[in-house]
Amino acid sequence: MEDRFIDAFAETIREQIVKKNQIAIKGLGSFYFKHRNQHQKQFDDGRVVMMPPKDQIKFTPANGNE
Amino acid sequence: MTIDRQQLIELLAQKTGLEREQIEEQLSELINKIKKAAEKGKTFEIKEFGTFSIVDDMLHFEPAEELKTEINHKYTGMEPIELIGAFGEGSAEEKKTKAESGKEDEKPEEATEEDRVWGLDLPEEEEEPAAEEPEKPTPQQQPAPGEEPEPPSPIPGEKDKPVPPPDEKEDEKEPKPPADRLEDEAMPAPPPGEPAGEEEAVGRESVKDDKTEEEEPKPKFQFDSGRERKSRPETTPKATQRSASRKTSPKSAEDEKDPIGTILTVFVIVAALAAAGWLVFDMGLIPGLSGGNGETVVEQQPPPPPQETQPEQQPQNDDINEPAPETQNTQQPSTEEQQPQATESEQPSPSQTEQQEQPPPPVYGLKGELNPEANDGYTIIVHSLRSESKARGIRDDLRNEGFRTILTQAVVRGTTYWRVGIGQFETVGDARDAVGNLQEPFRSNHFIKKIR
Repeated sequence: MEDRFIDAFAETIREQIVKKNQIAIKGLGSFYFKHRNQHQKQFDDGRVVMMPPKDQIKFTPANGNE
Repeated sequence: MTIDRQQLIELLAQKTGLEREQIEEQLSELINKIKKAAEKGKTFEIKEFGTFSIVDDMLHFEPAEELKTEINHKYTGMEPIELIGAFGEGSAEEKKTKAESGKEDEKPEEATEEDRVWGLDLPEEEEEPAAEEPEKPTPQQQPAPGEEPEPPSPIPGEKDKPVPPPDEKEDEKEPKPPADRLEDEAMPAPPPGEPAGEEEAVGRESVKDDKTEEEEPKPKFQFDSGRERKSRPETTPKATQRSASRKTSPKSAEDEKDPIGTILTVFVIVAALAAAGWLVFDMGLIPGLSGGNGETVVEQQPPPPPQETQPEQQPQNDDINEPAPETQNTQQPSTEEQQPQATESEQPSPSQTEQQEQPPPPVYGLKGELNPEANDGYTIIVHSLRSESKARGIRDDLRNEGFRTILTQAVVRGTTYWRVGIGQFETVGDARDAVGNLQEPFRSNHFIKKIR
């Protein structure tokens, strides 16, 4: 396994996620892009905080032993 | 859009330039490694991408910081903002504060009149202390330091040691007589009198700290008098006057509760005392001053001998010599005559120079003829026009009105302006003074500029 491949793998997934594409890899899982709107968050001590919007990468594993 | 394994392999092939089969191989190897590591409970990390691990029997991917920020590039730098008092317990806190403030508000209302007396001073300076201690002492202590930055005792202590004892004596002695009078007033008019009596008692206990409303002005008065010790004897009569004014009617007492009135009266009295002190000083100094005048007379007396010694001037000054003795007897009334005589007598030749100086008009001025020698000064620009002919017309008009007019040309951002200035002044200050005497259109719309 070459470093070149690993780098390319990471870079490709990154690019596709930025394009909001989902990457499904059989046997591993899928990476997808998720946007979170800004929202209010209330802490237990009563403080209320407005959380900023966020773009995230999420991963869901492939199910089972496939 | 979903990218499956085949598309991914194609993309990777493009990126790396490797064969598809190689890519497929490598990808399988990668997946296997991740899975093996995960099965062993280890984490598999790809640098600048993230880590794979097992969480709750599931493969979990945690993106690396670099990946997170790159994907979240749109919103980088946005921090969580705390919302204060908008929801939830924030409002509860507000209610608490309101309730507290409500309690605080009630207290000052209860302490009514005393606060009103000094009310205009207090709120601007410090509201909270007044609310904390709504008792009489605070509002009354505060104005005292406000008007007199230093408390009474240090002032005399710093200035003179002998001073404090008399002040204290006065504090002890003086408040009493007027207070007695107050009690006298109190008999005819009970409502104002009773509080006065109470306050008087308080005042006796501790005169300086707990000044009561009625006595307050007097101690302050004495401190002021302490500052001007010369005029101290006058304080007592004035105090009696004040008490007398109180006697006149209950309305006057109400008037005294007007804070502005009390402060004004105090200030007026202080000012009057200061003026009186100065007058006394001046009166005392007058003999000294007159002595000084005598010296000047002595200076002026020598003239006659030089006049005698210089026969050349005598024929010229024959006319002046006749009035001269009168002027010597009455020094001040005819100063104009004196001056030439003195100058002539002291310096015979300068008389001619003075004669020469008088005829030419002053170098600087607002009106008159333009003096080229004064072009190193300042002028008041009252018009700035793009048209030369108009400027010249206005210049002529102004000249006919008697102004010294100066027409100058100035280029501002490529545009030529013809500026009409009036007057020639040595300094900007002179010009500014002259502006005050100008007519309205010029007074508010002008600027002062150096002529050259």
